[in-house]
Amino acid sequence: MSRRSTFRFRLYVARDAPNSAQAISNLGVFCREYLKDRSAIEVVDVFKAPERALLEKVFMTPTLIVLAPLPVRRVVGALSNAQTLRWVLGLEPTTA
Amino acid sequence: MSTNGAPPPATAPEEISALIATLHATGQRLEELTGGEVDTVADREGRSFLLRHAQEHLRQSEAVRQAAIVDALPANVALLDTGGIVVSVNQAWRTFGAANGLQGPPDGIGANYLEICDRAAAAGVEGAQEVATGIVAVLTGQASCFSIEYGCHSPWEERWFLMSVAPLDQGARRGVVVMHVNVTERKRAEHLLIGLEEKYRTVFESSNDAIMLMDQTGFVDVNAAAVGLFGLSARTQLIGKHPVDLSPSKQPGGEDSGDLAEEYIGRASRSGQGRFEWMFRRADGVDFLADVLLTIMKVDGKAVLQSTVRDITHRKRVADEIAFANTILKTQQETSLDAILVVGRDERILSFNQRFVDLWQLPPDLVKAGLDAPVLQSVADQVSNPETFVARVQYLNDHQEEGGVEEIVLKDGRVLDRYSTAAIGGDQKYYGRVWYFRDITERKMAEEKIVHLSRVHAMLSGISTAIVRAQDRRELFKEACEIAVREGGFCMALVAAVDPELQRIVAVASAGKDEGLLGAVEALLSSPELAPTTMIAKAIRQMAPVVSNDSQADNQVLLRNRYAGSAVRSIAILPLIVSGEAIGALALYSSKVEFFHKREMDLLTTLANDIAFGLHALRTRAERGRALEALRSSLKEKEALLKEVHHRVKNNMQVITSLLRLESSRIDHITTKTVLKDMQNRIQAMAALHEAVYRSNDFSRVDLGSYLRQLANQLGRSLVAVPGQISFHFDLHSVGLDLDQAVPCGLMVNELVSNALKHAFPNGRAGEVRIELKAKGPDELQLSVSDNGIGLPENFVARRGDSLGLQLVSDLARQLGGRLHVGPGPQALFEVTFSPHPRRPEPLPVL
Repeated sequence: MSRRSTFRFRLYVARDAPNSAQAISNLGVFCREYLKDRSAIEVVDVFKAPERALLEKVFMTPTLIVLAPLPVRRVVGALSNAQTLRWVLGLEPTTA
Repeated sequence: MSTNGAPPPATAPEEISALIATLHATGQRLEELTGGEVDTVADREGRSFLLRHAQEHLRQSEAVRQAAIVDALPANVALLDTGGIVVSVNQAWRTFGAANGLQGPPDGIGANYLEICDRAAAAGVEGAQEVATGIVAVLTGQASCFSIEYGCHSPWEERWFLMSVAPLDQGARRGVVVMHVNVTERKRAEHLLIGLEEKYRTVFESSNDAIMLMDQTGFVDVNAAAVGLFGLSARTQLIGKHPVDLSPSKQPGGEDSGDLAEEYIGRASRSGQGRFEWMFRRADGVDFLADVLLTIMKVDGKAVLQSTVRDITHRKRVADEIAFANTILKTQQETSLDAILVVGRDERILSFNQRFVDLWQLPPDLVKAGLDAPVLQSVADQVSNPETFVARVQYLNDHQEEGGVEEIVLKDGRVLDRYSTAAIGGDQKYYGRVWYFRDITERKMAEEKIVHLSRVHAMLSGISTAIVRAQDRRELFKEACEIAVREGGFCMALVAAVDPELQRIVAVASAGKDEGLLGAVEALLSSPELAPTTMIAKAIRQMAPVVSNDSQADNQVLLRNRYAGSAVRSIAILPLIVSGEAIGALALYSSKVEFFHKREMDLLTTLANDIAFGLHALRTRAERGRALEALRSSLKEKEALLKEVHHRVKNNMQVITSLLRLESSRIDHITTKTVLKDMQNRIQAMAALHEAVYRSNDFSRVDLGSYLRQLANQLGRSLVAVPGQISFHFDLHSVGLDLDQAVPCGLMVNELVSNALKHAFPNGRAGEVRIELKAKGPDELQLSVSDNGIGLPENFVARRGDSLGLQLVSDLARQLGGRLHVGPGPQALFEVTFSPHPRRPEPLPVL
C-alpha cells in the first residue's frame, strides 16, 4: 500500500449528539495529524438521510466507513483512540 | 397528547406504569450494548432511536444555544410566561436591569413583570401603565405586537428606549418576549435635526439678506428681509412668484431676464451652487443690482433652491467712487515729478508710479510682485550707505508719527531728496507709509557751483585788496597764493615767474598744505629737461590758460601720481601778462574733479589780469616815485627863485616910491605933488602885494582880505593928518585869489580909499571908511568901499571921466571881469562884483 494513497471516509452521525460530535472532531484532528492533504471526509446525518444509512446497513451512530483504500472497513464509536484507528487503517505495522 | 380523541380506558394507569418500566429497561440495555459511545441505533427498517443520554444532551445544547444567541443581543430581552412571570432574561437585561425602572430587579426571574409595571406606574414612571396594558394585550392575543418609546433619564444623561413586546409563538399563547432597545442616539439625532431646523429658521428670519426658497412652482417661502427688499408688505405677495416676475425684462448686459434666469438656475442645479449679479425691480418700479447666491437643498427628498439676495447698489456705487478716486490718484502719481512708493502695514506695496521704477532702475516685475522687502533690498544696494538707509526705513516704519525730508546719496553720485509720511486715513487709521523721492543731483550741483563761484569771488576781492596794499612783487605774490588757499578753497596755489637773467621759470611764491607736493613742483620747474614741458611753461609760452579738469586721466599732467597722493584733481594755470609779455603764471590746484569751467576760468582770468595790473602798477609806481623826487627838488628851487623875484620886485618898487618921494619933495607944484603922491601909493599897494606873496607859502594866491586890510592901514598912515580923525571898518572874508585878480583889487581899493580920505572928510571932519569883501552868490565876490563923509558931489557921474583915479577904478573893474556900481548917494558907495578865477588844477598828487 502506497503511503501516498488518499483516504476516503464516510462518517454517519446523529445530528450533534455527544458521541457524533466527538467523532467528527476526533476524525478531523486525526486527518490533520496523520493524513495531511490525503484525506476526504463525508459526514452523513442519519436523521436527515435515514435511507442512506439503511442502504449501507448502518445501525448505529457514529459509524465511520473507510471507503478507500480498499478493503472497506467500519469503525463504530467516538473514535477517541487514535492508536486503534491507525491500526485499523494499516498505518501501524504491529498489532495492539 | 391524544390523537384519536378517545378517553383513556380505566385500566390505563397499570399499563402506563408497565410501559414506563419497559422504556427504562430498554434504554438501560441499549446503553450497555453500545458501550456509551453510540448516540443512535436503528432497526432493520431503518427506524432510528436516539439513546437517552443523547436526548438529554441535545435538549440541553439547544437551550444553551438559544440563550447564547439571546445573550449576544444588545437589547435587553426577557421572556414572560402567560401569566407575566419573568421566565428568563438575557445578559444585557441582567447588566442593565437596575438602571431601568420598567425592568425591575436585575435578575428578576420569577417576578411578575405586570406587577413591576404597576408599581412603576404608581411611582409616576411615565408610560408604565401603557406598557402593562400592551403586554396584557399581546399575552391574551388581542394584539399581535406592541411597542412604545419612553425616556429613562439618569442624572447624567438623557436616555431613550424602545420597548417592544412580541408573542413567543404566534397563534399559541405561550408567553411573550419583552425587549428594551436603547434608542438614545437615534433620539438625539432626531432632536439635533429639530434643533437644526429651528436654527435654520432663526437664521432665515433674522438675516439681513433676503432669503427665498423656490421650487418649480415658484417661491415657496421667503423671509422678512425679502419682503422689505422688494418693497412689499406681506410674504404672500411673493409666494408663487418667479424671479423673472421681480426683474426688468432685460438684464444690464442686454440678455433676456427669463433666459438668463433659467440658465443660472440650471447651472446652480447641476453644480449645487451658483453666484451672480442680477438686476431686480422693486414694487415701486426702481431697479437695483443685487448679488445672488443660489444653493440647492433637499427637503423631504425634494430639491429646493435657496436664493440669497443682497442689494449691492450702494456697494457698487462706492466701488465706482473708489475706482474713480484711484484713477485720479494714479494719474496724479504718474504725472508727479517725484517717484512715489506706498507701502502698507503688512509690508506689501500698495502703489507706486513709473518714475519710482525708473529712478531706482528696478525690474518692473520686482515691484509688481508687491512685496516691500525685495524692493527695499534693491534700493538699499544702490545707496552709498545701505545700513543707515535700511535702519532709518525700519525706524520710520516703527514710528508712524515721524517723517520728513532726508537727503540720500547714491553710489552712482546722484543725490535724492526723500520725503516720507505716514498715510493716516480720515478715520485716524494707519494705512501705511508714503515715500517720495526726487532727484536733486542737478540742484545740488548748482548749489555746489555757487559755493565754488562765491569762493572764487571772495578770493578775487581779497586779492584785489592785496594788489592795492602790496608794496612789492614778492608780497603781492605771497598774499595772492595765501588768499587763494584760504578764501578760494584751493588745496594749493603757486606763482611762478620768468627770471629774465636765467631765462628760467622759478616758483616765487606759494601756499598750500602740502609741502611735499610744492617741493615736487619746484623740483620739476628747476629741471632743465622737464621744465619746458610743464603746464606752467605751456601757459607762459602760449600766453593762455592751461586747464586739466581730471589730473588722473590727463597726459599733460606730469605729476599724476604725486597729485593723486595729494588729492589734487583739477589744475588751472593762468599766465600773468604785463605789457604784452608773460612774466609768470598763477597755478591753482583743486581737490574737485571738473572744477575749472568757463565761469570759473572767466573769473580767474580776471584775477590773473588784476594781479598783472598790480605788478604793472608796482613797476610804474616805482618809476614815478623817482620822477616826482626830481620834480619836487626842482620845484623847491623854483619856489626859492620866485620868492627872490617877488622880494626883488617889492624892493624895486620901494626904490621907485623912494625916488618918487625924493622927486616930489623937490617939486612945489601942488598938483604934481599930489600926482606923485598918488603914484607912490599905487606902487606901494603893488609892492605890498608882492610882499604878501613872498611871505605866504603859496605863490599863486594871496589872501585878499588881509592884503586889503594892510593896504588900507598903510594908506591911512600916509594920508590922514590927524590920527584917529578917520577910522577904518573892515568886514573882510578871507578869500584866496590869484595875483591876476589880486593886483586890480588892490589898486581899486587904493584909489577908492585914497579918494575918500582926501575928499570925504574936509576940515577935520571925523568919520569912518568901510571896506567889505563878501561872497555874493555861489561864484561871485563883492568888494565894496563906502564912507560916512560929506558924500559925492552932485555932478559926480559927469566928472567921472576927468579923474584918473575913477577912470582907473572903472578900468580895473573891467579887467577883473566885474561890474562897478556906484551908490545913489548922498553917502559914497562903490561896489565891484566879480567872479574869482577858479583855482588852477592841482599838480598830480604825490604818491
